[in-house]
Amino acid sequence: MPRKKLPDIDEKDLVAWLRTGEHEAFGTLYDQYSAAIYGVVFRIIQSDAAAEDILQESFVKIWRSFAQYDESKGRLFTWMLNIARNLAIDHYRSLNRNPTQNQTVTFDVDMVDVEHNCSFNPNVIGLRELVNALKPDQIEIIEHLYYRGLTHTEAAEEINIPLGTVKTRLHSALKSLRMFFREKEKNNIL
Amino acid sequence: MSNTILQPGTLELYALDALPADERVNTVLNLEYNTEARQELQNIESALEQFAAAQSRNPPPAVRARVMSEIKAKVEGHTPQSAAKTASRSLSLAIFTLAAATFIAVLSAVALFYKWNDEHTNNDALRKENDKLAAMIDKETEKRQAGDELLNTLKSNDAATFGAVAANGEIKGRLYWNRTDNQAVFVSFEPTGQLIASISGSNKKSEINIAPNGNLPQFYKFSLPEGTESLRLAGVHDASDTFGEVSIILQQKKIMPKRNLSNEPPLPKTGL
Repeated sequence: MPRKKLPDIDEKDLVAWLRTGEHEAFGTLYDQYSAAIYGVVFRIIQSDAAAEDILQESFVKIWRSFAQYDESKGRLFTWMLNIARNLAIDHYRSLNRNPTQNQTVTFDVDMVDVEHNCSFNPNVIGLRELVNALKPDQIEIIEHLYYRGLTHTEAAEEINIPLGTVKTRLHSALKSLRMFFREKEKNNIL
Repeated sequence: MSNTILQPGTLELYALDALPADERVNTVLNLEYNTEARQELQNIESALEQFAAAQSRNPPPAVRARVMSEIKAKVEGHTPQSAAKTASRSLSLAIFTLAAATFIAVLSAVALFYKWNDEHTNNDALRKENDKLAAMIDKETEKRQAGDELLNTLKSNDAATFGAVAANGEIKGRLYWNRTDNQAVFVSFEPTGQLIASISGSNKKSEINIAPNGNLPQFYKFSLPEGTESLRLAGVHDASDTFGEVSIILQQKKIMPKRNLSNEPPLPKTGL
């Protein structure tokens, strides 16, 4: 399944450019990150029309609150993605009313619509391969925290594990992801 | 990563914006001083970025046009052209809406006649659930705002600060005193201990127990009376069951005309 990787643009330069307020800078920001953000939003909402609206709302919010972005607290993309994830999760919860209700979310690797896939890029990786790199309990914790936006307390209650275990599982899931991406980079696949 | 303060998983939750307000504050403070934690966060964020990139999906080009048009409208001070948001779907939507509205009107008239009571009950239930959800969102927003306000106090350029140093030289906590709004915050890097803040000024003295229930909270915010001239800490700190009590050596309050964190010495690895 072809996927596009994030562009190798110096984030500092981009942030500095954005701080000038130039319209073009924001267009570049959109071009670079919209596909990754849209992919995550779509996986949360699972509807094209709603995901498009949330993507639009997210970028307008990013533009409006960019002055509040603080580089010392985290990277630009993480900040942007969290804005979009929170909007998507709020939208999803408003439709489902019960935020902690058990739902099957977004790790379905077969649900991607071919029409919307990014154009072929040899430096890409399939989500299926990535999911295969994780253990079931790691996938579960990512689903709860990343896609459903539960707090770690809610996730602990939902999975019925201690709070500390939520943290260690997330830590080990991210560690596995990091190892996976490091291996891919070594093999020049990413 | 040899970090005794941030548990494994805390930085990951921070990167996902999933930490409760108090832990978020503590994490931000740790990141401020701890280069190792900052590097670790970079690595985590990088992995999360690659994870997101692996799910990339091209949005329709029309979305870009709508975003840029909305921003342009806002910049020019016009009402956002929100109509553009659904422009591509508007015609078919209008036709569909008209047909659907007619159909629904007929159905509704019949259904309303028979099911008014049921609908009335359902609407009430729905309203209650919506209210509950709105209250939940408000509560979360309040918690976040409280955390942000706390951070603003701590990071204020006007805040004086000094570390609470244990007998072995490790910093066990940090006191911040924002003189503009007369707020003080003690941030504890270890959960156990007893600590009393002594406040004096204008011939008045008072004390505040920072660990009222026997445990030091991660952060403790308190207001200082007008005219406060000095602030001291005294107490004991249990580093662990093995070491028992560790006395805190009080340091003289350092008033800095303007805080510049980059000039502050880095805290010991084990302490922060």
